[in-house]
Amino acid sequence: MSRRERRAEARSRAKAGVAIPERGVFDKFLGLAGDFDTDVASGKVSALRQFLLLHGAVRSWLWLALAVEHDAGLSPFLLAVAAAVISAGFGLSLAPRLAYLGPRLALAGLALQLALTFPLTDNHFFVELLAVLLVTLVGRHPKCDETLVLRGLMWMTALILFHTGLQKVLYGHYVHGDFLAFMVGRGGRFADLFAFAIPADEIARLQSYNPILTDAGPYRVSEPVVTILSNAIYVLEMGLAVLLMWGRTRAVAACTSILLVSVIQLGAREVVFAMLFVNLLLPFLPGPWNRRLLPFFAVAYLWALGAAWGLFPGSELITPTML
Amino acid sequence: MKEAVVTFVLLWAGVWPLIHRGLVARYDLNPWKHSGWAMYSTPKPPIVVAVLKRVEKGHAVLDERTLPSAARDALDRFRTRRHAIGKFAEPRDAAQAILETSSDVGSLVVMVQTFHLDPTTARMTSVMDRYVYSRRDFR
Repeated sequence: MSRRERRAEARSRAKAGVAIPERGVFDKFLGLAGDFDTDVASGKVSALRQFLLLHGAVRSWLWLALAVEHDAGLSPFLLAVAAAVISAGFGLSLAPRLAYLGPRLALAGLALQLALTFPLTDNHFFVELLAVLLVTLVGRHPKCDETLVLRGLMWMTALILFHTGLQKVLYGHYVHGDFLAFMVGRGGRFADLFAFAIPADEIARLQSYNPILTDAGPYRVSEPVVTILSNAIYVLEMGLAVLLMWGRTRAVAACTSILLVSVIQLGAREVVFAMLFVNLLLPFLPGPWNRRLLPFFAVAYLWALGAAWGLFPGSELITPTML
Repeated sequence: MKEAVVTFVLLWAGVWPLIHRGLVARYDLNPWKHSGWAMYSTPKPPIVVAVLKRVEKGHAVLDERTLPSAARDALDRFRTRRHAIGKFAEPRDAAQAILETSSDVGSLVVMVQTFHLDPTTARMTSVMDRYVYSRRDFR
């Protein structure tokens, strides 16, 4: 059967509401993300598409606020253009017949932002970019591509979560808690976060080192809590990513991942990214949680915009990283 | 075509970070950038850049504050790029800007010091890179 014939068959099956059978290694691999009938996949992808574009729009206006406030060397005019384009994409995503065009328009805005910020672009932006690239694949004909896109999004999310743990292993700073000790030494929110586990004199010692001096250190503490916590982080990240891909453990792994990401990102004061990644994890749960929670996140984003422009408190929680 | 895009995204998310890890080790690429998903995996302290000008009996440190703003800006731009893309950024443009605006400097050396946390000793180590430029290089 040719590819055109397969796609025609897929469209007729979709119209009939029949699940599309998997073929080949690629489909089987993607299928590990779960079985979805086309209505379920369509609902999840549609809600996630609206969320992603809302996130992109808000993040873009926050970037503009940051660039103006900190004189980041980026053109405010071009940032505003990108924000307007992505916002228009979000607007399109709300109209059922035109929703498929929303991500395509937003992609143009994202490309402009990438061009403006590269090679300093923050990793959080790439997560958003890859997710929008995937939802762009949903075409005009409903219930044709949503299963492919949904599985792609779920695999992408699991891979990123897995790698955030694997990279910690590869760099070797988490076995003894050295990275956490280093960050405590830099002061600020990490020092506050670990004040319960590290004695004050140890914190003072870590903060006395100058990190741009050869041989500064040792950035290591003997408190078992720090070592246990440090190792637990990457074990959880990698372990949960694997468990997300197994049907029996998927829902529990998703809930645990959402909790883990929320705690870590709140501690890091990166609430905007926390909302993005939590929404990428919601499709792993049974039920239309992306759709159910969309109003809540919309309110949260309105608050974030207000806080960034000084209208509401809490601006220190929502500074989106840009460069 | 759509399957190809999905494959591309999954390769980017799943395979590129391993390549990125190698580029960090070899070329000092910033581990916190370029979608290597290695934020919070390792520190990335600021780099130290010093410019030395040739004098009669060796080299002397050039006080950046005495440089014209165009040269200072070029040096800052190099620092930023170097911190992001490591050894893929060389200070040639900054060196040219300094030589063009400082008639008393015949040749100069740009020293770039980068710092890393050693996972064995938990102490900072550093690597020094040296770039030598003269007016002949820009004729």
